[in-house]
Amino acid sequence: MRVTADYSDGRSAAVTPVQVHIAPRELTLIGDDGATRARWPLAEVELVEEVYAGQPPRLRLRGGDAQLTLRDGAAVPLLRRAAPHLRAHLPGTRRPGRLVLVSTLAVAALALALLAALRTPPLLARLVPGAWEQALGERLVTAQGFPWCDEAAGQAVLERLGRELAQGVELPYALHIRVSRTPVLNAVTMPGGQIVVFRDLLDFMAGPDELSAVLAHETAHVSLRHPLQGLIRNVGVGLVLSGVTGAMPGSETLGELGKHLLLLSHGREAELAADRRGMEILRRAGLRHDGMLVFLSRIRQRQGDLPHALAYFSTHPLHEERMALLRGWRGGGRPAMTAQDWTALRGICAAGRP
Amino acid sequence: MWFRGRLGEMVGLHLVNLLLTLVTLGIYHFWARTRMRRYVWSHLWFDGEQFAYTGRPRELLVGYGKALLLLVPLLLLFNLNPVYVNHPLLVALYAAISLAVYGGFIVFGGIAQFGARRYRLSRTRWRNIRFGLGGSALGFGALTLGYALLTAFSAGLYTPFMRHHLAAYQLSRGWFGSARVAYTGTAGPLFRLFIKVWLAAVAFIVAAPFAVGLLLATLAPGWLPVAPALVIAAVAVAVIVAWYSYVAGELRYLAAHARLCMPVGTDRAAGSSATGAGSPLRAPNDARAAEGLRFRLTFSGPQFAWMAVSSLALTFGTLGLAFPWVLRRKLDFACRHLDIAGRLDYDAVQQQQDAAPAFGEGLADALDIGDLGL
Repeated sequence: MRVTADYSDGRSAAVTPVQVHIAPRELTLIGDDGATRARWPLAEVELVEEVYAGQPPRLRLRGGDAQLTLRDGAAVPLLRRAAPHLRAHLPGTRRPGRLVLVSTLAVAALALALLAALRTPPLLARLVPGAWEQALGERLVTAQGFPWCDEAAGQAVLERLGRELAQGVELPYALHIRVSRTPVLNAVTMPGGQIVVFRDLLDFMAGPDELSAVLAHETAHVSLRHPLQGLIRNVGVGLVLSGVTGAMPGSETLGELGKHLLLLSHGREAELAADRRGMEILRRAGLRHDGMLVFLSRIRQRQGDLPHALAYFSTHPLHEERMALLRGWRGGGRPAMTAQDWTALRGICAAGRP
Repeated sequence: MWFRGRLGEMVGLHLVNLLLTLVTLGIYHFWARTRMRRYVWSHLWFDGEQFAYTGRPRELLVGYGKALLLLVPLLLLFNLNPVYVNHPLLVALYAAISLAVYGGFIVFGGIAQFGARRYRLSRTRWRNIRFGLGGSALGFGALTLGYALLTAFSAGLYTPFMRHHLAAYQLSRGWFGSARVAYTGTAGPLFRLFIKVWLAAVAFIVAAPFAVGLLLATLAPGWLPVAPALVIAAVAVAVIVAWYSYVAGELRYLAAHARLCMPVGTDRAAGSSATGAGSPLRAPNDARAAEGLRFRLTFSGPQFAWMAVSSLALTFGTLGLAFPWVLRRKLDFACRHLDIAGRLDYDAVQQQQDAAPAFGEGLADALDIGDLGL
């Protein structure tokens, strides 16, 4: 069966019309004069690009420069029959069902990858040696460049409280509690047992039991290795979502937003777990456990002067479930420290204060 | 010039690309890019023939890897945290390194842009003949830095010269087989256009508050409180239209002064050219050189501005999902407004066997520089 085609030898821009005989194993190119110009073994023929409906198939020999454009509409079915290896890229072969299948698989794979990124960090965190995490935490804290409050008497009280809280909990490394001069109403725990209390939070506290409760909560994060898990989760989710956003120009914002939403929902679970473990830590240390409830209630009342209180709630979401849990834990124990110690601790930022 | 792509096919291709890129955590990006380019190139028609894209995904992947090897140390230097540095000597050193790295990024930007164009052209065929770009990417990068410094020192007045010279450098080194691009423009007319547009914009900015105030006072005195907002909006629109009007004028000028023709002294039988591949053809006075294809862009400043701004809005408004639509609009726009006249003796155009770049546009990909987002 013969079809008309345009032939280019790849040496000049000249295009000459030819007749192409499509046989099962070979294409024979026949010139206007009836002479055979070339024989192309079909096994070595490839398409220049995948062919869409209405576009003429363009062929070339593997490794060669010559090109054949099959302008005749009859060429496509002939080519499909003669060259099965080209079928997938010729029109009329692509099944619409394939798109649905690929989409479904892709969405399922994305869901699976996201689930893995969200759920596996606790397992992965266990594989990280404690010494690595400690070194990482120190580097992270140093990189933040926090100005420290370091009045000796206050620091001693803080360290003693830390030791009491650490009793009876399994910690992968020693706690390292410090107060930063940065005016923020919050406390953070970084990998490697690095707990940073910011000055405004300390100033806001009405008594030592509120501080011991907050520190117990942060110590719980340390013993549950939440900071490292969070870090791994952040990287993992970012990696998965970058696959989506990398393919769409201008969609980085969408990726960031999605990441925050995903991590936020996870943060709530972690906070609840830290509350539970924190109460356990206070109970074992023999300290009062109503501090957290008092502290949260007071901070909630101050929501009037947002956004100051917002800093705390942005990382420690407050919801009824959490309050209910804390209410259930009312009960005994001794105060966290004497009034003198509390005064010393409150003065930890005295030196160097303008 | 005619783009025959169908939106439905482009959207389908884009979605499959998106999903596969996602599943492969981004590795498919290079295959996705190549598939979209093959689609676009093969649906661009001129004079009854389609263009063809012959690049391979692996070339892009290797190019990207090589670019990362180069960029990662630079990025690390750039992100050196000054918190660790406190000695005054170290601070001075840090500042010097930062400046050098910054200059390096401008040079790399130039190299990347040039290299990417060169790669794309070398993988572009029409009538089965390769396109190409001569000259040196490093030279272009150095020029970019030099012109950028001049532009900074001249408080922006050098801008039209910089833009013209960089465009002229590339245009005059373009080739299609043994045919060369002859570029005969100079920066003077563009500088005059730049000043004209700039003065018009300044005049508008000065006049806008008075005009808005007067109009509101006479027609709708109740609306006077919103006058400042109206003035700011008017000025913003004016600045955008002014800039794109200039760019449109510049593109029209560049196109009008470029021709694709056979170089002087080409021996048709031997198929060799007197000027080597990529050498600029500066004085096409010969009768044969006077033949060739002439180009004309027909869009106006406001048309071009609307195309650019609406494309940006569509892209960001849909978080990139409208990419195929934006792409087709731009291609349709470009084809509709490009007139190509004249004649090129196709039989005389010989394939050039110059070494084409082996790997693709890694730097441009890493630095996110691209034409039409392709």
